[in-house]
Amino acid sequence: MRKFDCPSCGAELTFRSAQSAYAVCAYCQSMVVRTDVDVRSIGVMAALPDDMSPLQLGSGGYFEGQPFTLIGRLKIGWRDGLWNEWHLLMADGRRGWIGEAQGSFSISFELEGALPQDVTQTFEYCLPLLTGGEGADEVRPGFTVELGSTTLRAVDIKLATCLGSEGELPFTAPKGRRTVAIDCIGKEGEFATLDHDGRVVRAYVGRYVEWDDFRFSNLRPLEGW
Amino acid sequence: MGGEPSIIPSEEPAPPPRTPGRPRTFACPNCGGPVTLRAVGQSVTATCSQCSSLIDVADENLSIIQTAQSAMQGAEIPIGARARLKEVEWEVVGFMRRCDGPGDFQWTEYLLFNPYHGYRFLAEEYGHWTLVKMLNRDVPGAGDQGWIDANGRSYQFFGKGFARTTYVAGEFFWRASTSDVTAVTDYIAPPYRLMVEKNDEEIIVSEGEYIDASDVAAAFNVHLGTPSSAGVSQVNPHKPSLTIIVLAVIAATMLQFTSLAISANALVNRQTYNLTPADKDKTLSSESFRLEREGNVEIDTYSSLNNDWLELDMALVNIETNQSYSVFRALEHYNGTDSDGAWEEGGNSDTVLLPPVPPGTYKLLIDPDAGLFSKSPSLSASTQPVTIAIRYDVPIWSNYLIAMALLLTVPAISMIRRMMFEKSRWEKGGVAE
Repeated sequence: MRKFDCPSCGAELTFRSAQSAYAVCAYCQSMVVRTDVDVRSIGVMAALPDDMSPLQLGSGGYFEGQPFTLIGRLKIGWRDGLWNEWHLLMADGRRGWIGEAQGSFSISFELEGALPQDVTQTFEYCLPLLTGGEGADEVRPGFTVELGSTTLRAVDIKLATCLGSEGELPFTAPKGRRTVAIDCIGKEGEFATLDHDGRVVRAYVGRYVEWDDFRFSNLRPLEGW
Repeated sequence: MGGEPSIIPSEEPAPPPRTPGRPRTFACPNCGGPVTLRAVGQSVTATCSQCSSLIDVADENLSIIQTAQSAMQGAEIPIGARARLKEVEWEVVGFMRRCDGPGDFQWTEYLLFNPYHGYRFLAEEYGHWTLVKMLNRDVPGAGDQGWIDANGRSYQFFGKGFARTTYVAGEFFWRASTSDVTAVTDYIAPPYRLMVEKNDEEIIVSEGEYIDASDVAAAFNVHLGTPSSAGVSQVNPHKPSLTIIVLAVIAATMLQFTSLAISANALVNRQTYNLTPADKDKTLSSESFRLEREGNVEIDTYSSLNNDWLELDMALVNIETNQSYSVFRALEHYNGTDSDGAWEEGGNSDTVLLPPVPPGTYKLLIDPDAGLFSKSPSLSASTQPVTIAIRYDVPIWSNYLIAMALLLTVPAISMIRRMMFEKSRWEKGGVAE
């Protein structure tokens, strides 16, 4: 963990994970990028649209018996709604994401190494949605995607726009960054999301988890609940 | 402190907490009436409780999607009501009325929200209640197969059709509108049901569990109508559905006896043709006969065959219009003795039913072929008599019997349902009735 002074407002800014390259100052919403020893502000993030999410930065939980802490968040919008991607730091240093959408929670970790062939093919099929190229109208979910040893089915293909972020993130997430996001599910609740912004491809794999199984702590108070 | 990844120590200053989450209220852009958003950030559409306008709440612009829907409709459970169902507290945030394609069958779906546990649907059809959860699981073959395994249960196909949304009230996490139509396939494993909804963008599989109406009424502290037996309630484990079956059995039986009574069931022609080898490649004709009204036609063929065969290529011809209805029949009858003893194959008679033909004067034309024709005339100078009887307007039993079998399957399934219901009731704590 490293502490810096926010270059914009001077408030203390903590990088909990060594891999975090970016953070948003909790006080002035400045987007801060970390160079080797110093930090500099790269702009101010607007306050995120409010929601009834019980999660907040600093909320803790468990996954596969190991504790984690929520350290960052992306607010994503698409044509028909919004969702949260919470960035988490596991006790062993791994970093992952909790997707909070339509009242369901998924946890996933970025796939390392070369991407499976099916991911490449999926993007060849879905990328016209992002670029507006030929074939954009024909993109439909329902096809299967082989990821390692599991077979998943693409159930949801969205054009997503980043509406803002808070906390620490492993990459810069400028407001307005557009991606094509493909959600896939497996027979046993496996989950994967494939994400392409036109340049960088990322695949995250994990599973759906019930609220109670996360054993969350330090939750945000919700009026009336 | 180094730059290595580290778990946050407990004395670590927590980031400033988020402001508490709370419902949001705004003025309806159509009538200015107050609109409350309960699932802030998740809801995409909401309706005004005052003018029933459908409002887009996906962003800050709050644009009107549809001003004032037709007449305002109420629901048995009001929006905002809370209840504990399956050990979780739920708040009703919306409801929609839906119907099948033709609009014969209607039901209501309430949307329940809990900020921790997400969403459930509470479906009500003719007084029967089901609590439904989206599965977040791939169910291979869903919507295409007759049976599927999902969430540890074996589901049987129940029905397929369309669900049209005819009215929406409250807030929804999708762009709900009264023009929504989805293809729905239903599977059942009473008291559970599985619904597969498909449109161009999504495939959603949800699982529902039957809840007793009295439990729903008690949980929401509202008065609910008693379950009716009208309509389909796939996972309804109650007896009332049997009344419908009993009525259907009586109705079908009465219909059958009525049809027996009014059927002409008349023999209109009966002739015996003595086939000889000379009849090979000839066409025989029956005498003409009259069918007084439209009705089906039964052709009964009889010939005494001894290790021989007979093929009749027949055509029922309306001699007024030349309209022809062809039918091909084959008879064979063999017997003998082998190491297993005596054996016999085939028979001497055959019956075939033709679909209804219009009234008129008819003839039966017959192109026969027989084992007899291929034998050398010197060996067999014998004749082969064939009797063909024609009946018309014959009562049919098969439809009635199939209907009975189908109708009686339902009480059988119902019994199984009931057994499963009882089993699950005992599993949940053995509360005696």
